[in-house]
Amino acid sequence: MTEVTERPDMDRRRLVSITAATLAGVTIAPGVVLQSLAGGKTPNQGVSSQVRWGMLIDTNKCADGCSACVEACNRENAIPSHGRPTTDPQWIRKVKLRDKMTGRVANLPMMCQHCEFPPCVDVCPTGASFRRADGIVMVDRHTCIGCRYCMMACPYKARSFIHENIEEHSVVAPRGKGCVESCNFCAYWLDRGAKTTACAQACAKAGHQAIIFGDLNDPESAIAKRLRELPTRQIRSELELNTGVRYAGV
Amino acid sequence: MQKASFGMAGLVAAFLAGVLLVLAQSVMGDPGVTPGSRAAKLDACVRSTPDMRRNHMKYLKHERDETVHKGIRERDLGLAGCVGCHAATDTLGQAVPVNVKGQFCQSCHEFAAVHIDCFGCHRNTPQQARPEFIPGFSENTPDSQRTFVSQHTLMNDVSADGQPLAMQNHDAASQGRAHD
Repeated sequence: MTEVTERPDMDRRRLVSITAATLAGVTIAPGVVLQSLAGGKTPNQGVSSQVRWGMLIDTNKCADGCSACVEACNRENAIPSHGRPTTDPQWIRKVKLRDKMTGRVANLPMMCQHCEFPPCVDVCPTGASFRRADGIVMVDRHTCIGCRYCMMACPYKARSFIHENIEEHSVVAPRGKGCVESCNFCAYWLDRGAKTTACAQACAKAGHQAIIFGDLNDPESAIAKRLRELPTRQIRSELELNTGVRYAGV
Repeated sequence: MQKASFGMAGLVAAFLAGVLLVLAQSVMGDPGVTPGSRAAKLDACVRSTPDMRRNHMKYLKHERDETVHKGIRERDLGLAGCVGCHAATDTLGQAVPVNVKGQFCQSCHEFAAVHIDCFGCHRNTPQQARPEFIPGFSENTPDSQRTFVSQHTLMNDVSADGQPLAMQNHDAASQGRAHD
């Protein structure tokens, strides 16, 4: 009897990626120099896999009781609230962890981890859940049928379902009853050349600097430099999803 | 019998005349834009009027896929652009939704008996600018440095209307979501 593993075949995926990268390299090689994007792009450029957006959250700096990131996200992405916390959508939430042995408390924001191998994409029956070239995991609500398989598959409970009609729509974050959504790293702004997100900006503005956002692929970016210095981990690293969001101090 | 066929011929002739009239109007005369909208002051849409009439849905669909999947924004065929230009303003200066009866999108779609799904999710009026919420820029950033936000964006695309959106019900220290 063959062993049944829950994870997808990572070796095969890596081989496919390497093969694709090699082929791309061959095609580009003769005299063509790729311009380094170094993060930002112009609105008319398509996203590039040279960039992988990611986030480093230093839980030692994340303050207890502060919800600046959550409020900024709610405001920026026009997250609706009907006063029903069990069903209202939520892109980012604050989590408090307490070590039962030592009593040490850690605070952290939790949101879509923007996995390289996202389970939500694996289970989506329509292809609505997808990973963009720059590493952002998103829902194409034009094809989402609201089955919520992705919500079940996500180990981080990062996704929300829109249960109710929306009275006033936002241009930045269009949404309607019957679709799933989650954090998209403020893709609307990144697409226009910004290099930060609403939550990271709000955290810095509140004086905590607990969230560093940037391009994981750029060795000179602030996030890549900090990741080299600081011991960090992925939440549920045993799933080998290679998350784009890394945590320090937990 | 002969009288009946005359009647039928008359009906057909009247119908043809009607069709011709509609066609003539659509090709030559009435541009169909809502009076009081920005579009009413312009000579043409982003493409020629007959082209837009026939193909606007294809353009919208093409650009929507490129925007969602490739992150290509600020092209001239986006839905926010349509709404920004075609929404009329009422006597109080408030924008009128494009999908209410008699307005630009709805009047034609009603005639063609095609349901518009766009506005179940998308905004049906232009949205005012709030440049202070653009990440990466402080309130003191001079306009000259806000290069990546085009005028088009400032007219149509920026999030809510200065009023803080309801957000008080997200428990900051909640351990997990309740939907499991």
